[in-house]
Amino acid sequence: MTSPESGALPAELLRVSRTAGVSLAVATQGSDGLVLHAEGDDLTRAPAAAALGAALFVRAGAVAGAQGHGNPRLLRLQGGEGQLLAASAGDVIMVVVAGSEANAGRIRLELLRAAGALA
Amino acid sequence: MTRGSSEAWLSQPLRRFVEDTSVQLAVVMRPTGQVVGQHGFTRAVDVMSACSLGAAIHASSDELGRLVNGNPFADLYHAGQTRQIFLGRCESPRGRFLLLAIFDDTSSIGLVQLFFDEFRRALAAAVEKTPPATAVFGEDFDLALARSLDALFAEHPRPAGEWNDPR
Repeated sequence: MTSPESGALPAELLRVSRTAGVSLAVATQGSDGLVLHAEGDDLTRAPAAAALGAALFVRAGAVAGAQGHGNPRLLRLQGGEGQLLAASAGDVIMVVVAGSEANAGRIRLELLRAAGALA
Repeated sequence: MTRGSSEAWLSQPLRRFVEDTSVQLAVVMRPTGQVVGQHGFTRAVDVMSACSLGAAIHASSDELGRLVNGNPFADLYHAGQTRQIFLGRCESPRGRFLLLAIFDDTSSIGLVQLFFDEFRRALAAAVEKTPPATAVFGEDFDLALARSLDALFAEHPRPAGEWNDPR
């Protein structure tokens, strides 16, 4: 799976996926929710993470827009047994799945750095 | 809340699919175009039109796939300016069913594909649990229909056995 947008995407996702506690990093094209590229331990979960993560990000964007906060840069969802982070880089939405023990601040920095590199 | 109507065994899997994906319209049909269940349509004529067109698309892509690919093409996705369609096939112990889903940007093809896999499994399981319905027509209905059509359109008689295709 490669990105038509940027040859840098696989390298950026690989770097994000190597952050401690991250089990999956996946990118989708816009809001279509289809996997552009994925890196991580369990790639069978990539389609679900891409589809659900992108849908969540798009809807959160609609809420942020309605409140006058503009387009969201980053979304973090803390679950009981893990966490999900999503960020946009141009038309690409990156979704990261991590364990609850993972350092959210570190992942956030890596994700925003990758988004900046790809935008 | 959903609005639709389905055969009883299909209502739960179809309702779940619609709720999970937020598609606007969904219809389940046989490859012949026979309606089995629907969600979101308000007029029967629209359901019948959707089924006729969906069945025709399926038949065309099936044959086109055999022609150029050696096998029928799999599920079909088409994106328009505001709406998108997905046409997927579900195999079951009682033959093939088709799902036609119509959605806008409140859903996505990723979500539809993701939950279609679940729907496919749920439909097959529901079919297995349901006793077969009594045939409305006799088993030789197809044959009788073919004979009648041949009588009506005698200029182009059908080859023997054409109506016996088990699909």
